[in-house]
Amino acid sequence: MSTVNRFVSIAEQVSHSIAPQWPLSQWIAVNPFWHYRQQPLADVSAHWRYCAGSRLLMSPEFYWQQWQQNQIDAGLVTDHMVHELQQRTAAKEPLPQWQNLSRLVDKYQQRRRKMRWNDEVVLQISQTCGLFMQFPTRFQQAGKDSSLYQHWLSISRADRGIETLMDEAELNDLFAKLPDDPHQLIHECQAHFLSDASDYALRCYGQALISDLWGWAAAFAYQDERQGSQWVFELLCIRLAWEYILWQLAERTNTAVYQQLQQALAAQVDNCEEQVAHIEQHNAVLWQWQAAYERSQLKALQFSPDIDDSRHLTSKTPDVQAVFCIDVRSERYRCALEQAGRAFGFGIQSKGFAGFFGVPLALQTKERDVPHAPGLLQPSYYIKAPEPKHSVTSLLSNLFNTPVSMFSGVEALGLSKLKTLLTGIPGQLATANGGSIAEGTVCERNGEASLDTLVSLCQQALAGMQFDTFAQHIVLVGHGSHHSNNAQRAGLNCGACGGQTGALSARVLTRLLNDSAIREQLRERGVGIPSATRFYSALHETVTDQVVWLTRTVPSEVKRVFRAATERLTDTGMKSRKDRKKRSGHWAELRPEWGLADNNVLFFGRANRITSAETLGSNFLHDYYSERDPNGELLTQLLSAPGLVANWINWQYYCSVTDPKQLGSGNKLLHNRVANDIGIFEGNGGDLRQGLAWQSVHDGTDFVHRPMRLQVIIEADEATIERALAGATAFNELFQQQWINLYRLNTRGELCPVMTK
Amino acid sequence: MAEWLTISGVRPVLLVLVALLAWVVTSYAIRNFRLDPRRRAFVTKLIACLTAVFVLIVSNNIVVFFAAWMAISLQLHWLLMFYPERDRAVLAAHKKFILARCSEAFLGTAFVIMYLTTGSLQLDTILQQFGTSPTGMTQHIAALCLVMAALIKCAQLPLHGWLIQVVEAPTPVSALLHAGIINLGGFLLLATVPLWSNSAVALWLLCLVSAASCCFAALIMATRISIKVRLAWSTSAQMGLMLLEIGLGYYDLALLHLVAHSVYKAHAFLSVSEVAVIKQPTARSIWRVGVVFLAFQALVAAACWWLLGNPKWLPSALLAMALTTIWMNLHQWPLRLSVSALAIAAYLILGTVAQQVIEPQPAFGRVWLEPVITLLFNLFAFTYWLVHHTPSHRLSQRWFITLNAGLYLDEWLTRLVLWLWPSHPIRYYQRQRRVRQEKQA
Repeated sequence: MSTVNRFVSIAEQVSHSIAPQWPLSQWIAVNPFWHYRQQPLADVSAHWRYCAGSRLLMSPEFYWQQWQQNQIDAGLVTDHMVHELQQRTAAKEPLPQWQNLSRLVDKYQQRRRKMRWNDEVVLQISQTCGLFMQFPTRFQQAGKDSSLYQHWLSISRADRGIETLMDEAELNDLFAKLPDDPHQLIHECQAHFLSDASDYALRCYGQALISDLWGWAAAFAYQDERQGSQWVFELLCIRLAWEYILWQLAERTNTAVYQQLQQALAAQVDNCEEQVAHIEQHNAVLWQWQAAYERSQLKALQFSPDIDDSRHLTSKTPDVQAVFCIDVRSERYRCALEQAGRAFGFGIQSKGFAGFFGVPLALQTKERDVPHAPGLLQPSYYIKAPEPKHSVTSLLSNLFNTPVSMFSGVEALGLSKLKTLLTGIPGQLATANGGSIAEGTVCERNGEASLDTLVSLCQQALAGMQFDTFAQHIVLVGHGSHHSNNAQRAGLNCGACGGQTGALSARVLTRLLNDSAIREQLRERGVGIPSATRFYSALHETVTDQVVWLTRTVPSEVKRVFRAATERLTDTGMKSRKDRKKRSGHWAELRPEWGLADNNVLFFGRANRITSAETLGSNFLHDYYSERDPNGELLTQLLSAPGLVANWINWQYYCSVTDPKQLGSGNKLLHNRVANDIGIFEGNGGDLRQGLAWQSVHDGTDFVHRPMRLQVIIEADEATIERALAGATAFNELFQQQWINLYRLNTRGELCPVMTK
Repeated sequence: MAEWLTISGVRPVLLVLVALLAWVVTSYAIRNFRLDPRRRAFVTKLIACLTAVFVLIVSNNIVVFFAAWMAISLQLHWLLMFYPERDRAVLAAHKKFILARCSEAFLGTAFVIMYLTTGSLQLDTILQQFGTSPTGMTQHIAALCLVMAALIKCAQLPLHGWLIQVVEAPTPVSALLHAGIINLGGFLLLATVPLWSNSAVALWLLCLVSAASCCFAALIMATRISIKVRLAWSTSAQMGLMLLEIGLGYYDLALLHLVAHSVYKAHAFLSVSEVAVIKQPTARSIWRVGVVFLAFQALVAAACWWLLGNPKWLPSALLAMALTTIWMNLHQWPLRLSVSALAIAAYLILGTVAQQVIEPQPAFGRVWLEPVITLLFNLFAFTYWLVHHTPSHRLSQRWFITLNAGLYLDEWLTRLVLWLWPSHPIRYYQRQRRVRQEKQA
């Protein structure tokens, strides 16, 4: 019995290690290997390469090309590295990969004039999962206790399609004989064909199986995390059940294939550990190249020495302070805004902070809560959304979509779509002004938030933004993307606001900070905001770089500076402005903007120390003043919150470039939404896709994102960094296992690598 | 020259429609493929395909008509094979390729018979002569061939699988196909009414197949999980209704349907990535829905009889279904009344406009055809309500799974296609590409 528990617990571990994927309406970036952060990157990479064929490195050709084009510093490269790389590019050695039984069957069985197994198995499971999520009233009657495995089993037993399609009459009988309990299934499988497998082999097998349905596993991981169900585990069992069926089918119908299967599986089980070691050794030199590449690319980023003058300059109270999201798209705007301010003789200080401005909000609608907070954070405040009105368009879509009404419905009202067909769907940008949502009462889980709570909330937010003085005008600038007809549009909105725009958060915090009662209390707590200071909220629209004002009473001189900043960014020619307008307004546009492409640096420190202009738009900038944080407590918080979010974003882009087939979501021209908003298929089926689409990282000729791990740079002394790392567990794990690189910016403006232990 | 071209009947309307779609889809595609290295190739083929559609619509010569019919399908094949590395795209394209050739075989046979009987290649001359000649065996065969060509072109069950599976092609192709090309089956029948309308066999075949397709495809649509596949099943159902209306002599409604559906479906496909939630029906008492529906149906049919002298069974039933849906989903009386009034008014006005273009022909001598079909649609509506409004019912579960499997119709065809044209053709294309690349190098 102990052996059974062994496989069950391994299967559970494998399922619990799948990182979640948010539904499309809240689609934010995720590091697919988040749960593997405690293991060294090179190990994980070799392991997944063997089990699932995942690529976490670029091809040898890529590094060779970069080397030839002098993109990699000669000082960082040894002769040995060049020699090895040359060998790798000259002779392509296919790396070994675990083969699931479904693939082995396809390999050994001649099915020239028949459907092949592997595709069909994935499709069948994928469709069943889709039904499960699309029709909850029918298939999830027990809520979180509904069994995905049972659902699949009952569908498969009733359905006669796959027997017909594959021309295998025995399947009916095999489905009927499958155990009803997933644990029992694992027990049987192990007894039947995995009795000799080591723990290591079982883990490889589990990962290989789940990787066939990685997208669905990620979608279910999201559900599991929220409701405590076991759907990823059950999904793995479903995939295993198919292996069991194919094994038995071969046993019954085709002895030759059966013998080959037995031999191949035994060989894999015996050799998997060596194979992984082989891959790891093979790729070791490529990881060296990757590190050299990253270090060389980082050289473009230049810092000024820390002169005391600059500190004096900033300590003079500016006229306007503007707080932006740390998003890399803000960097360019912040720079333009400060330049515009200088041109007008207007003191402008810009700051970087997570775009939800420290207010973990959720918008409560009748059906569900829409969080406006980072994915790792549970919202603790709620605002009620106004009752949605029955708009004519929603009525129409209802009429067109039910089978009984669609016939007359289309004849009578189909022509009403003519106008939109001719003009296209206009771009959209949520500014949270419908029914004055942001004016609504801020509530906690159990009722209205007390004044005291709100004051603490404001105090924390202000402390996080590290205000030392308060200017007369303070603008909170959220961001959002104005475009339409993009299933993954949430990915271009504010990740810190859960894939929504930053409008609601900015509006709410502005309202609170302008409230006289709250200001009074803040003063008592030692945060004296001058009475002349007003807070305003705005939204940075990232396609056209326009700023949308959310507060009505903004002084015209403030507006003027922002307008000038926009003009600085867009006036590189009339064409550029027109182009942007078109991209944001055209419903067929697949690349409205490049989003966070080419992000690679996270900088905690004074943003004005960056002197290089060509690195604009690659850096996440978060304000940090180490002299005001003697214990490193604030830094600990920063590493544990924005630090992790930046890592998720960075790894989403990284994986979508190194392995677009498996960890990217394919071609946007073929995107096909599934179960309303659970995710997308590419084309007709296959697995649910995760990661970024090809069009989000590639411009038709080359990648627009350089595959670099996140380079975290901290402006602080060694002791502070050490202390902060000790407190920020998850971040430290990422750092120690080389999922990110860490540098300290010294006073001379040089980057000193922080060493792993 | 004049005898080669014609713009009689429904052609002017279709020309406007196709011009509109051509403009929308082409400009959409040009934007869609911005920065794509293969943009030029894609748009060129798209325009070639649209040109062939124009030629088809205006041609009066059956040889040109046939050539255009074939050209459309061949250009479309190229568009469906735009990503030859995608196994399922290739399989679907092959299925479509084989069926398109079948459809052409039927059309060709019909044309040859027409030519042999009348000795003319001009469509208008043929129509005139056929309209006056008595119905014989050859005419029956020609009519059957035309009907079969249209049924296959319009992806009617059980030869519908390709339409569902070609969502593997880029979105503009789907829009072009579902809003434009697929209607050509309907156009074929509308343009050749005298050739097949006298043949009772052809009529029954047309009406029964399209009615069954319409009902089943609509039911299957409601069990689908992805948006594009849902839309594809909906097209199959809507085409069924259009053919059925043609078969029953409601040419005006068929034309209205063709135009309205094209506009609606082009819009639906082109806006497919906009996240919008399709609400699942809530559990309801099937009896209540049923009573409301039957009452509406009786009311509408009685009104038609009284006002138009004809109960118009099928349109009455369909309108009653839409009204029932409006009634059951809206709970305030003013809204219910206004939306219903809007739907009825739009339906009547558009129907009247369509009548100006093409006159309906009451189905003489086929008294039973329409009531039988209306009964089928009643069964269909009750099945839908049973399946979707009472999800926990045992019968509902069983039906749901069967419907979800597409009634197991397409599996046989897939097997046949794979047998005829072995799978993994991808290797063939890869080989071709490699050869091309080597040549270039």
